[in-house]
Parts: sequence; C-alpha cells; structure tokens
Amino acid sequence: MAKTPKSPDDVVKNPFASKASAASPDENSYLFQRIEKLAFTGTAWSYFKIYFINILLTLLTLGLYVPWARVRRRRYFYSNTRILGDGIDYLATGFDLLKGWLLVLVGFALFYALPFFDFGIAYLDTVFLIGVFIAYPWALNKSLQFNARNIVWRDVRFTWHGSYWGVAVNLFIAPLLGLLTFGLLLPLASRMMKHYIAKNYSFGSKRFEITTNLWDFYKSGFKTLMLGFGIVVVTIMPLGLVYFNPNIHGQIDMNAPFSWTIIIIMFQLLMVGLFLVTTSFYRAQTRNLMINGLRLDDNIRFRSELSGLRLAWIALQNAVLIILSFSLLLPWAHIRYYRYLTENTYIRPYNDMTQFIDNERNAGHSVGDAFSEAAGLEITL
Amino acid sequence: MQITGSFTPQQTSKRYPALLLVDEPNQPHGQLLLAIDGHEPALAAVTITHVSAMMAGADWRITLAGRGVFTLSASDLPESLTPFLPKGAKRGFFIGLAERLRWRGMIIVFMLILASLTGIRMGLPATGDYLARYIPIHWAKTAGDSTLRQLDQLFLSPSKLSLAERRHIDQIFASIKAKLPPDAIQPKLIYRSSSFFGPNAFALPGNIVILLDEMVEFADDDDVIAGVLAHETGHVINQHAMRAVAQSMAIAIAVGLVFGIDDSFIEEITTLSTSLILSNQSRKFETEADQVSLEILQKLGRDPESMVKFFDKVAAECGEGCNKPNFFDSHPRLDHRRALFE
Repeated sequence: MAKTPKSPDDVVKNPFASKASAASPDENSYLFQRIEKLAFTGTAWSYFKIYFINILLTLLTLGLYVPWARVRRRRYFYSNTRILGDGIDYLATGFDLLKGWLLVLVGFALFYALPFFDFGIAYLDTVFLIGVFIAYPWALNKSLQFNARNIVWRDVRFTWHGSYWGVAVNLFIAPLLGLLTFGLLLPLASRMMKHYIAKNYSFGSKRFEITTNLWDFYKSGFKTLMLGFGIVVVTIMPLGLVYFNPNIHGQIDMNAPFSWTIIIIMFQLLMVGLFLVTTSFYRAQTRNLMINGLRLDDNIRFRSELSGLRLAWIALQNAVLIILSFSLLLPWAHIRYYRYLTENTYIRPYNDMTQFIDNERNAGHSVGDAFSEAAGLEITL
Repeated sequence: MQITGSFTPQQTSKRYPALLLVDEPNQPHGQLLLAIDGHEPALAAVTITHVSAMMAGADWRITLAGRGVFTLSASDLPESLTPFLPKGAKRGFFIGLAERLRWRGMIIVFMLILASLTGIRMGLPATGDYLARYIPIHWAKTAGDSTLRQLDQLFLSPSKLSLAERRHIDQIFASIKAKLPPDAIQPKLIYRSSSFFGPNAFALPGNIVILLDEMVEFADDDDVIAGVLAHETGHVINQHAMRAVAQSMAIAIAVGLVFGIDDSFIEEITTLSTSLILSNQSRKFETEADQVSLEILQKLGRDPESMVKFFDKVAAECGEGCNKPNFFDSHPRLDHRRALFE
C-alpha cells in the first residue's frame, strides 16, 4: 500500500505554533503617522575595497570586467539603503550589462575608425555626432526602464513608463531652454524634469504621484542666485581691493607671468568652487521640493530635509579631499555624500507597506544603460 | 538547526518573520523546511533557486522556488545551507570574499593596480605600433588625403615659389630619396604656403611631406632645407604619422575601457596622463627623425653644422621660452636637438 505523502507538520514541530497565531501585519494597528528615516548601512572602508578591487579587475581583464564592476557598485549602494529596515536589491547581473557595454564599445571604435574611410560624404563625423545626440533620449529612457525593472524592494519591482519624446522634451530640451534663457526658465525646467521622473515611476502596480508649486522652484532658484552672488562679493571684493589699492598695487608686478598664472589659477578654482556650491545648493533645494511633493498609493508620503548649505559644504570638502588624495579618498567621498542624501530622507509608510503587488517581469535590454553610463548621464532620486 | 530571517511571498511587499529549518528533530536529512509566522502554509518543504552574490552590508536574498524570497541578515551564509544551494551559487561569492580583505590585502591590491597600470603604460605604444603595421596602405592614403584637404581649406594656400626654385628643391629631395634604403617607403613632396604655421614642414599619413614657402625663406640655405626635408623623410620612412594615430587610438580605447567604470576624477587624471604619454612618444619620434636627417646629410656630404646654425636662428626667434622643458611639448628641447647635429 502506497504511503500518503505526509505534510511536514505531521512530523516536524512548527516553531511558531506555540504562539497564538500571530496577527497578520496587515491587520496590525500600525501608527498611521509614523515617520521612518531611510538608513544607509554602507561604510567608507567596505566601499573603498569594492571600488579598488573593481579597478584592479578591470585593469587585469583589459576592461571586460566593467559591467560586473558596475553591478557591484550599484548593488553596494542599493542594498545598503534600507527602507523600513529592508535593503533595496539590484538584480541585474554583469552578463545582463555586458551586451549593451559591447555594443557601445563597437560604437566608440567605429567613431575612432571613421577618419580612415572616405565615403565621399563630407562631415561624416558630424553626422555621427548628430546621430549620437538623437540617440541620447532613447538611451536614457531605455536605461531608466532597464534599471527600474532590476530594482526590487521586498519582492516588488519598480517600472519606468517614460517615452522617447517625453524624455527628450522634459529631460533634454527643457534644461537646454533653461540654460539658453540664462537660467530664467531653469526652475521651470527643473520642475518639469522632477515631475516627469516622479510621475513615470511605479512601484509594483502603483504609480507615484507628485504635486509641487512652481513658485517654490523659482524661490529656490532665487536663493541659489543670491548665494552665488554673495560668494562672489565676499571673495572677489578682497581681490579687487588688492588690485586697486595703490599701496599694495606697487608690490605686485602684474607684468610678471608668474603673478598672472597665479591669478588665473585662483580665478579658475573660484569658478569651479562656485559652480560646485551653487549646483549642490540648488540640487538640495529642488530635491526637497520633489520628495516632499511625492506620493505613492495616496497614503504613503516622503520627506527630504536636506540643507542646501550643508550639501554644498560636503561637495566642496569632497572635491578638495579627492584632489589632495589623488582620488584615493573618492570612495569615502561618495559614501559621505550618499549617506547625507539617504539619512535625510524619510518615509511615512502606511500599513507597513505590505499592500504592493508586482505584475510585470520583463526588464528589457541593457544597451541604453551602457550608452547612458558611457555618456555620463545619470538620474538619481 | 533554525535559521532566522524573514519571508516575502512572491511578487508582494509583505514581510513575515520566518525560519529555515535543517535537521530539526524528526526532520528527514536533506530536507529544507520553511516556517512562516502568520502566513499559510506555516510549514513547507522548499528548494532554493537563487542566492544573491555576497555583498558587504547587504542581506542575503534567497529565492525559494514558487514561494518567494527569504531574507537573511548575516555576513556569511550558515554552513548548514550549503547542500541546498543551487549549482554555481558559490561562484558568486568569490568577489565578495575578495572584498573582505584587510588593509594588508589592500596594499597588495594597490601594488597590483600600479603594476598593471605600468604594464598598460609600457604596452600601449607597442600595441599602437603593432596596429599601425596592419592598417592597409590605402587607409593611410585616405586619411592623409582628407587631412590635406582639410588643411588646404583652413590653413594652407598654394605655394608662391617659382618653378626654378621648386625644381631646385625637387633635386635636393631626389638626392635624399636616393640615399634611402632600397625597401624604404617613398615620400612625396608637396609645396604649400601658410601664414598660420609660419616657417614649418610636416609629414602626413599617406607618406606626404609638406614644405611651406615660409620655411624655404627662413632657412635660406640648401643644407638646411636638405636637413629639414630629411627630417620629414625620417618621419615618413618610420611611419610616425600612422603610428601616432594608432597609438592615440589604442590609448583612447584603453582609457574608455578601463575608466568607463566611473565618471570621476580619475578620468581627469587619465586624460592628463594620455597627453603625457602621447607627447613623450612624439618627442621620441622627433629625435628619431633628427637622427635620420643627420645620417642622410652625412651621406649626401652636406654640412650638419648648418642645422646647428638653423636651430640657433630658431632659438633667437623665439627667445628663452623654447628651451624650457615641458612634459606636454611635442618636440624635444631645442638645445638637445641642436647638440645632435654638432
């Protein structure tokens, strides 16, 4: 007589059975107004090792390791970012990224080989560059799609719903117009970018929503402008005094090439510093606006409490330390910057975030991702 | 044995406290059980289909066939799970283990990085040379022709030398070519004028030597013109133009490959060292061409001393600046070049 298959319960004692069947988390009375901070569990030392082992393996494999190196780096940052204690997982593998990476390499090689062929077409390299330019939004869109599908929290993935023209208009043309109008339309462009990004992500089957006020973006822009102006006044004024003060002027020989070199270097450093400080400040301000206006599934809210000045200070210190350490401290600087971003971001969960369901599975291909990485394009939240 | 973690049913964001059970009392050996608190079934036999690669600070993500994900926070997977891991899962741990090095290990990593950088640095020019040898001659011609066309459009104008002058220089050039080894590449001489470049001559890919009117005027001496033409011929017979292109290609590709990891400060450093390597190579090429020039002048019975005078004249024109050594210069220091002809 065949034995009926036994349920494991019949033989092994259920370790949870002694407890009076614990309540399902869904039914638990979680505090509605609970606000949780995002945590970052990475350390400079462990990332330092990942970073330099990536470099070593890339060198030893003459570049073939690059896709795996990217996966290691991304996974480190994602999985050490914890929402309600659970890390985010990055599921793409080096093999997934390899295909896109190889295609982009072939593109590069073609570009370098172009001058050796005379197709009888004038300005072929210009045509090539225009082609690359047209491909940018496509690549960024595909990259966002690929990466979103590979980012998973618990077992629910993100999805990106953007389109070529949406990306082109909101993430390329709008900022370009912002710059062409000498920043007059930049706050508008920032808002378009942030809205486009926020509205086109979904977590599982639920879309993100966002409401912000355009006037707030203009206020941030104005504050940034004032900050930049303030820095210029504070730093240039003393220099000007030195230059125009007849008592001191005599001591600086403006004809000596040496003094000019120093002044030019000082000026360049000042410009770089100014750029770093103002962009970080503006970035912090607009990120706060975006995160604070973000909603998921109606009830889940987010909060970002970055201080523009603090972020600018971190960016400035990082730049100086990276240069002084010949980039040895780069991993430390990355971690520090990232930690500041995550640890000042909060979530107001609802129902312990148990209500999400994932229904899509296809991640698409990695060509866009490799292209965007090669072009240095990156969208971070 | 009980392994404590949490369980997420497939494609949901739910989270339950859970245990993986191995070799518990009464449990058959070789069976892996999942016990979930507050979710049905409370106890089930499971198989592992995937385990995330080891990563510092991260939780282990253990995918259970048809059920969901078991998450475990521990720096190492418990030994007792080893028999249940899918094939090849351990391979993913290798890099993670390497990333656990202590500072002594990291010093070795740094030394290896330096060693491989040095190796690449030494190997690149050679790789470029190797590539250059395999570039078909008609490619080089195309590249040379299109460069000449662009130069003609932008900086060069037709030569204003008289026919007699040209014939005279052609004769000098022919005498130089006659002294080349029989299997050497034959350069082709082209006359142009350019106020932009001033007194100059150069060699292009495709074996073209361009002599500018301004150079003829500035040199004002057959021996010097012979020396200059012999120098450019030296570039041609040693394929310097193609080698320079191939080398910069090799370097550009290597930089793209290696430093595609990160858009960072390292990129700046590489750009800097790229131009350092290229200028260093370029100075080597110039010295090589000067040596060819000296040899040919001697074979022709012309006076190398005229080149010394020529360098003096150049030095007088540009003053102190020409002798300042600079790592980014394409040509060696003038006094070094002058010394060769003494």
